[in-house]
Amino acid sequence: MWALNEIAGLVQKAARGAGIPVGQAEDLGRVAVFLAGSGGSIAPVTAALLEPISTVDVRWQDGSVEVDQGPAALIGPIVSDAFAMGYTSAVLADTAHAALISAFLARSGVAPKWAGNTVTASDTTILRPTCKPVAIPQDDWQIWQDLAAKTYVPETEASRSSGAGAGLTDND
Amino acid sequence: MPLRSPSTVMRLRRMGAGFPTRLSFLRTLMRALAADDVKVTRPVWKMDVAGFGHAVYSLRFGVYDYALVAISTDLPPEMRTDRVIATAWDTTYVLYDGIPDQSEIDRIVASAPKQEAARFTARDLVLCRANKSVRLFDHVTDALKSGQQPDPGKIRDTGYLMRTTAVYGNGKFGIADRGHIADRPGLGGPFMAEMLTVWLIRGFTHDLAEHVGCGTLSREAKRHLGIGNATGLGMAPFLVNHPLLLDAWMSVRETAIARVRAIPSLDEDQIGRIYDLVARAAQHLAEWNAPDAIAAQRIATLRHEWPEFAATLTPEALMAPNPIDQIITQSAQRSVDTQELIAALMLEPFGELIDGLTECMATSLEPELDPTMSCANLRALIDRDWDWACDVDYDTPAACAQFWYVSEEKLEPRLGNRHQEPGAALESPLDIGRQVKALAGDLTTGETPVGQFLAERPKHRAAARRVQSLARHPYAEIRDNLIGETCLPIDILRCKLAFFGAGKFDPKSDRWTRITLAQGAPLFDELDNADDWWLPVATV
Repeated sequence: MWALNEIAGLVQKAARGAGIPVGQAEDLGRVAVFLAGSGGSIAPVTAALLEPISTVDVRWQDGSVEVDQGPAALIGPIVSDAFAMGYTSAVLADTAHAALISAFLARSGVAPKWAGNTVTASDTTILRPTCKPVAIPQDDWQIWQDLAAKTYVPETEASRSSGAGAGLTDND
Repeated sequence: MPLRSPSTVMRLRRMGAGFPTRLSFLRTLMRALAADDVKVTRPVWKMDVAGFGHAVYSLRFGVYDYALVAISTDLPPEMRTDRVIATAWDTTYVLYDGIPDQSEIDRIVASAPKQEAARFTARDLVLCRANKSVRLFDHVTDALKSGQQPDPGKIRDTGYLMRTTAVYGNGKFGIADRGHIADRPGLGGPFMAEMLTVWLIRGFTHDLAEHVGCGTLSREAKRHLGIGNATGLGMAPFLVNHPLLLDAWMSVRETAIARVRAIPSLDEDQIGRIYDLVARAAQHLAEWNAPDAIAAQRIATLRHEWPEFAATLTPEALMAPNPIDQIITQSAQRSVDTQELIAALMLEPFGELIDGLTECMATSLEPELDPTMSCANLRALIDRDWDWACDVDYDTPAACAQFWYVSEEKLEPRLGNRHQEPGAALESPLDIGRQVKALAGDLTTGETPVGQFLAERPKHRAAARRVQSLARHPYAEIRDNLIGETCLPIDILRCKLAFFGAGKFDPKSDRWTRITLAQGAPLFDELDNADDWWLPVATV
């Protein structure tokens, strides 16, 4: 079982390890907590972490944001922002992203309703996540850890003695 | 009365001159424990004659039961280190949610000594370890064994029997998330569970020394024996990564300072109290020694300036209109350290006026982006609030001399020299000023909503969120270059530790420090007199 704070921290680091920008990494960490805390599958988070980072291309039409391309970790915040900006629908290029986009919207208070690759807001009540330990499939956790490890710097003797402070033994 | 400007308050040098106040978390906790008439009991004490074994302390606080499980282990001297790289400790602890049954005690006794190498449960609220100050612990127990009290000078010199080297909360290693206790009376404030833990540990260290020494320490000695702490870089990124919490702490302290500055006049009792506190501060400064060159210089300046300041506190000055505002205004001519000590002192007599503000020191808010804001307005915020970030040329070697990173070996924050050490490509994003300057360089000035701008420039999302957050939370950012050559992490550590209630800062380098917590704090049976231990001085 894992604490939600552990999940937020690890997913955020994994996202940075996957090359996702800092702000979107923060968002993905929060969405992972939302999913885990509300009993949802965290598979969309892992999928987003494994997706290659590509250029985002979106078009802002009247009331709708249309996604032509881009990875889910970057599209999620854009769609969530779009609804906050008053857009009432989003059209995805890749329906495989729908689960993560739904989580981004739900976390921001928008209950998603899908028709094909188009999402709009519904008036369904959104369940808020609860604060309790959660189980994460070992395979997902391992992927997160491996990606997070890409942000860690191996130690050298010099960094070990200086990077964290003095190299003292404290028998006093 | 306006608050002190964030551009003054949020500089590293001033944050690194922080002192504990009556708003500090340990002080708040003691008042809450006293108000709730909390009784600490020790239902389990299974120690051998050498002081190895385990104990359980329990208390009922805000209608919830809690227990500290303390484990004392025989540690070979060569394994005793305060650094986070340690793998074994003299003592380890869990603050438990409820009263543990035997199976839970057995679980904790087996797992707590492993610390990070073990997994814990949501019944475990705080995980902690502490090493003996061997010189003082052995002296105290030897003295007691010979039927004497320990040397008061030695107690004053060290001030604690053990030093904690990590106090983990909020979900670390499987313990309960903060959300589990955030709404509970008494424990809802920031770091309250951690502070309760270290106060209980302090009492345990007294009990353990008396057990090993087969004698009773004087009440005065115990009161002056706080709990030490060694804190390293791991604490520094916390304040950068929790900007709204930093804003809450700072806003409360600055609001409190503004409230006492607005007091129109002082009565005789209040004037007498200020004189007492000025004298106490002088004694505290005399008893505060730190070998570190920078710290020693700052303490020397404080000792030099304090009598000069005290001499200005004539009866006429204190009976004049708006006396505290006058005192704080005039303090600007003194060193930053003296200014901050004066401000902390002036809060002390006015609990009724300011203690309620501590209710605002926790926040459940997280920084949120407003995608509807226009780029022009975002630009205006940068122009207004971020000159300290945008006026820096981060391409110069000195302005980017350091980089923060997470070490592969211990998964702990570290600080490296960009120009001499490998790893800068993997640096942690604590270069807030540089990020915002990069945003400013790409930001358009039109009415395009920020949400659309960020769709085209996703890399600026974090910086845009911080700019917007600072507009609403003016004390949310450390207004200095955290990767610059002159950034001293010790300043960040001291700011946070002062909010905890730490004193006697004893830096061992610019990136780790020893401190004393709960020195002078009430003992378990003294909670009826819980609130007069600001800047404790020796009575032993």
